[in-house]
Amino acid sequence: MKIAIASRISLLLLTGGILFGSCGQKPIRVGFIGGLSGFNADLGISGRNGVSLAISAINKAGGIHGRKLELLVRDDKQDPETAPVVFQELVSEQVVAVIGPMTSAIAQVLIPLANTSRIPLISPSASSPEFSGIDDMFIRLTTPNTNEALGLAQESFQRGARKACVIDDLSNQAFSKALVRTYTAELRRLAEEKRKEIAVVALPFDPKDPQGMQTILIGLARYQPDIVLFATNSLDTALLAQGIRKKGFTMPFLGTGWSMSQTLIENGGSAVEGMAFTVPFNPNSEAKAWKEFSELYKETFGKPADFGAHQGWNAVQVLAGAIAQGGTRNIKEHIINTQYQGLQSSFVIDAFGDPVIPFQRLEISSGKLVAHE
Amino acid sequence: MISLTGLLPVIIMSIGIFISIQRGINDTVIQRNQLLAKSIALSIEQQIRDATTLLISTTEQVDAVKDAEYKRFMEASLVSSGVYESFYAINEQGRVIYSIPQNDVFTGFDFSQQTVIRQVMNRSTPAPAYSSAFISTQTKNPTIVVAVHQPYGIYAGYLNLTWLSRLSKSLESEQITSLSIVDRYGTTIANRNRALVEEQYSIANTELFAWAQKSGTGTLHHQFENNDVITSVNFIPGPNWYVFISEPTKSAFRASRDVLFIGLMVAVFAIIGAILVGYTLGRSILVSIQLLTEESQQVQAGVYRDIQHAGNYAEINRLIETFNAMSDEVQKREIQYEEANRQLEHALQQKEILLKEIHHRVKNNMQIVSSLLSLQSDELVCEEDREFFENSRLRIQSMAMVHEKIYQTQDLESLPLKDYLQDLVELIIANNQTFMEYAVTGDAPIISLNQAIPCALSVFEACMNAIKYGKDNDGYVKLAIAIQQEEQNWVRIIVKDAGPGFPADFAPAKSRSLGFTLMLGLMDQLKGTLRWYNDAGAVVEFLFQLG
Repeated sequence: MKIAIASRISLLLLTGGILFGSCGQKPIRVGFIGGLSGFNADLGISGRNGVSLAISAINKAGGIHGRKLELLVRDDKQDPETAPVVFQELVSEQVVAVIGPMTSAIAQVLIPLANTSRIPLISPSASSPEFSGIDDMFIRLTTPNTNEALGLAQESFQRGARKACVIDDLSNQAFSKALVRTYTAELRRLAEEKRKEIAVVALPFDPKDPQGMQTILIGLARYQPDIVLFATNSLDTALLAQGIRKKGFTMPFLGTGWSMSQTLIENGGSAVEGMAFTVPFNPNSEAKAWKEFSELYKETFGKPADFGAHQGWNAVQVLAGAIAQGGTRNIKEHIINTQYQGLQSSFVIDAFGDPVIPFQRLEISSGKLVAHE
Repeated sequence: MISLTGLLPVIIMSIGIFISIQRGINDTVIQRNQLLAKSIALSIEQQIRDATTLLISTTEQVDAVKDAEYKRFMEASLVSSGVYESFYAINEQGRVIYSIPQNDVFTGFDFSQQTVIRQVMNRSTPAPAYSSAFISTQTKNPTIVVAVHQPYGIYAGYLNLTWLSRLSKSLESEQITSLSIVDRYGTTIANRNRALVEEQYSIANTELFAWAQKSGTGTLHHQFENNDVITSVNFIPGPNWYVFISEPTKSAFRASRDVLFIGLMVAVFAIIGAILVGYTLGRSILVSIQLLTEESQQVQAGVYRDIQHAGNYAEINRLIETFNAMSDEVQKREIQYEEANRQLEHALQQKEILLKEIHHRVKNNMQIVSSLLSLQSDELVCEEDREFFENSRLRIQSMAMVHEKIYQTQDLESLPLKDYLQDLVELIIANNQTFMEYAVTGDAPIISLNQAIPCALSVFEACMNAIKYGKDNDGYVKLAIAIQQEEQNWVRIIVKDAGPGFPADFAPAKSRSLGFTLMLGLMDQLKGTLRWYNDAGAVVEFLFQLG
């Protein structure tokens, strides 16, 4: 396994810039695909902002071996029909790699195209376990959400949950389907271990349906769960949580990395207080690199850096490190089996392009995400 | 060239005018864009202010909890009027009391964590707070929340900013400028490209935004996505937005480029015209000059012709007339010179003939004198006297030969020395009954008439001495005459016999020899020297400088 930490990458980029610096060189084109409009835009926009800041920082430091990075951004609109079109646009623009997509539903559509065109597809946040263990052009910066589901199941079981409910977003089934399946299986396994009875119900939620919230509330009223896991985006999670609390439900809430953002806290208010997460990310990390990034992000975009921004930044660092080491060809070969120093912690990307990242347990407390052991 | 030189001040002046016009147009374009940005900024500021004023005045004395009957009034004035998309009455804890038009959907929701609500919760005055722009999930349009804290509650209105997009679209029809409005963080909230708004396209990292934050107002010439662009900016206080009026430099300054292009075209045509006129005029001058040059060469070759050419310029015509007069004059003088030459040549020929005749007559006279001497010597009994006569006769003959040789030459002033000495020796041989052989060798200088006679007499005397005293035991005379022409025109004549040579005590002064006396005198006349010595015979050597 190769060892490459961020400081080394930075040094490499800097010395590369000095040794091979040349103003006349063509920039290296990097594509970004994410959901930038519509209901699930906040994750995509955060990811794009993180990517944009990272590329800007690299260019300010002189680029990679003197070559600047040029970012080409495309909006997949969270639409499986739009995503292939914009991907082909980026291919025709001769990008060396595409950072994105941000969701599993779109990743599912783009992976075959990436394999055909041999363009590395580096997703900051797509977490469906269906993409794991495959030697292809897909690389991601977050662990499969099965790991997250295992953590959430353990959290639920520890809290004494016996009637769990998962609100299952129909618009991102590639993400939520595996999460629900793993969560349910793990809960049942834990219950079986302790010889307890347990029931898990998944309530389908269509974010485009104006009556979606009412449907959920009716389902909850009938089922009366003792814990609710939201497999929905941040705004939907916030509004659903508000609606559920308004109805007088007091059960604990669990959330996923997908919804864990400032939008959730602002729009969820007291309804999302106590909501717990098991994610490979801590917004209150004391890591110096993260603090500097957070300040820069807040200063630039006027809002706190979140999971999407964090992942976007890390994705660019991984890509830049690979280009610095091996040029614009064989990028994937230089990414895998390598250790990286991320903004918050070091992580490894295995031979199949999946990362191994330590998980954090977080909880919303007094309008802030707080890490808990 | 003359035309171009004349045009130079005009060209410089034109360039100055073009630059002034270009600057004026460019300044006008920039001022127009700045004015546009300012007008739009003022308009937006006023609209936001009006909406805020409406919200403040409508909710001023309303107790959201107690005065539920005001709900309908507020719905009519705030939402149904189309100013606000939705309206929320919120209590001091940040919970929604009611919302319009969602009825009870949001009632009881906790909005206390929303930044804009938190801002006004801490205020005691109804100073408004504005949220960042966001895309409304209901309308999918950019929206901001305007919140105020009134004595009896907090009120928040969702202000739909669709009209901003309409504003940028209205400019699109002008096809000259692009209007963008960005919030305080550089996020696009209005642009003719709606996708940029929906995607919350950010210019936070650009040179333009950094400059806009610093300057607030003005115009920047910058690069954007590899295009050269000028952008005028104006800050909108309140929501803290920025209005950008951007235009590609190419189209912004098209008018000045058109002026420049027209100016250049006019200048190019003017120069071409000047060149053509100059060429036509110059060509007529050049034809005249060419003609003059050719005729000058003809005059040099002795051909005289009048130039029959009428040019466009009086000066040129006068020059041609003058040339013709000069040519005629030169021809006249040449004829005169030729005539004078002919006369001179004739005179010269006459002179030559005369001179030859003189030399011929001198020679004849000398021949007569020689014959007379010969006749008189026949009457002499004494052999010695006869010898004196004979020698004198030969001396006269030798001088006559000089004149003979002279008039046979071309220049009548000099003669070839070697030929003459050859003839001289043969004359001596012919008049002396002595067995002898001779040879005249060496160089063949030309000697003048003045020096020829002293030289001839000197060599004659030396030869006579050789014949007289230079016989060998068999009575045979072997005479060798060598001529050497040396540096600085010195000539050495060596007369040598093969006889017994000079006696050891030979002294010309004591010997009373007439021959030596003559030789010494003649060499003295030639400013030369005489040497004598023995070298397998007697040797006499004359050395003098040819005149």
